[in-house]
Amino acid sequence: MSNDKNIDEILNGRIKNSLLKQTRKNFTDDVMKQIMLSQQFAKEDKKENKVLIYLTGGISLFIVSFLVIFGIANSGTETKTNQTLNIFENFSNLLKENFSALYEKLNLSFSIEYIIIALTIIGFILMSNFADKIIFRKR
Amino acid sequence: MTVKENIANKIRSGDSEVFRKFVDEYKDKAYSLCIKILKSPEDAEDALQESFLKLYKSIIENQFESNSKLSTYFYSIVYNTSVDLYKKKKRTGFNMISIDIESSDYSDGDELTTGIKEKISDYDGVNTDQEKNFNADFAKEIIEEYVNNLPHQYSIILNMFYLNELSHDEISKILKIPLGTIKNRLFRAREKLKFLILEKYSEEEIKELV
Repeated sequence: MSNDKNIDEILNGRIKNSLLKQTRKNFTDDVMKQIMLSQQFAKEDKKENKVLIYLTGGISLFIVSFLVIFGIANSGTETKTNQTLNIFENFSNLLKENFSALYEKLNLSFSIEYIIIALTIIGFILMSNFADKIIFRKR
Repeated sequence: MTVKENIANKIRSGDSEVFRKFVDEYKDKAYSLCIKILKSPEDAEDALQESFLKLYKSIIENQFESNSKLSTYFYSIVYNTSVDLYKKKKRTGFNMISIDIESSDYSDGDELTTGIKEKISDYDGVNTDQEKNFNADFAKEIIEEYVNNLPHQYSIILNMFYLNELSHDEISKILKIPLGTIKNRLFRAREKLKFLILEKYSEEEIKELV
């Protein structure tokens, strides 16, 4: 029985040795480099996201406040008389009226061309962001 | 709190040197597992590198629960990443269940010795003293070839048990196959090797040679 156990132990040790394969010399360094890079990218992403949130928030705030101020400045007796109790209806009417007034003042017309240009710009921004994360960072 | 759990906390607090030590400690054992699955050194290194990155990320992002064992968690990442890469490269499924005594045409243990049976039968044994060294090398070679030619359904379990030092239960959880199958395969693989060796050498010779 103890002999048997001995042989088992010998074979177990030998099996272990036979199974072990070794990685190349600088494997650990490469892994650590990858980790440093991923940490760096994560930090950059966080920064980018923060900037993006502030930028979107800022632009939205600017548009809304601009429209409100523009609306108040342009509001005549007509809007006051047409006031209803529904706040949301009032607000949407205000936006509609002021958008068309703004377009007229800026000499612009609301056409499909502007939408295409805006979508192309947004698409370009998204594509470059995607390429940066998926393609360039893998190199 | 155990030492291993401490590792996760240290890594979380930004101590990258601790992670480097972890990589150094586990890279070769995990690489051996990757290579058993992928059969290609390049693919095995890719899978291993990705596994370490996944582990690091899951520690940093608190996905790793400190009440589980870090090494077991790591080996499950290694196994799943390697199997995913295997499926991607070979465009075929990876089957850990396929070889079983009941479901195969093999007579008991035949599937374990396909690669080396001829080699062993060609060898008549060496009795002279001057060829003792050759004899010892040959015994080692038999074991090495036997281990390297095992079907992956056996070799992966052998690898996890002997090299990665996982328990039967941990292996069963990682591979998602019954505990009884794990024990059975380990037993059969070991017994077959013992049988092969004892067929050629006496017990005393084994102790002397291997």
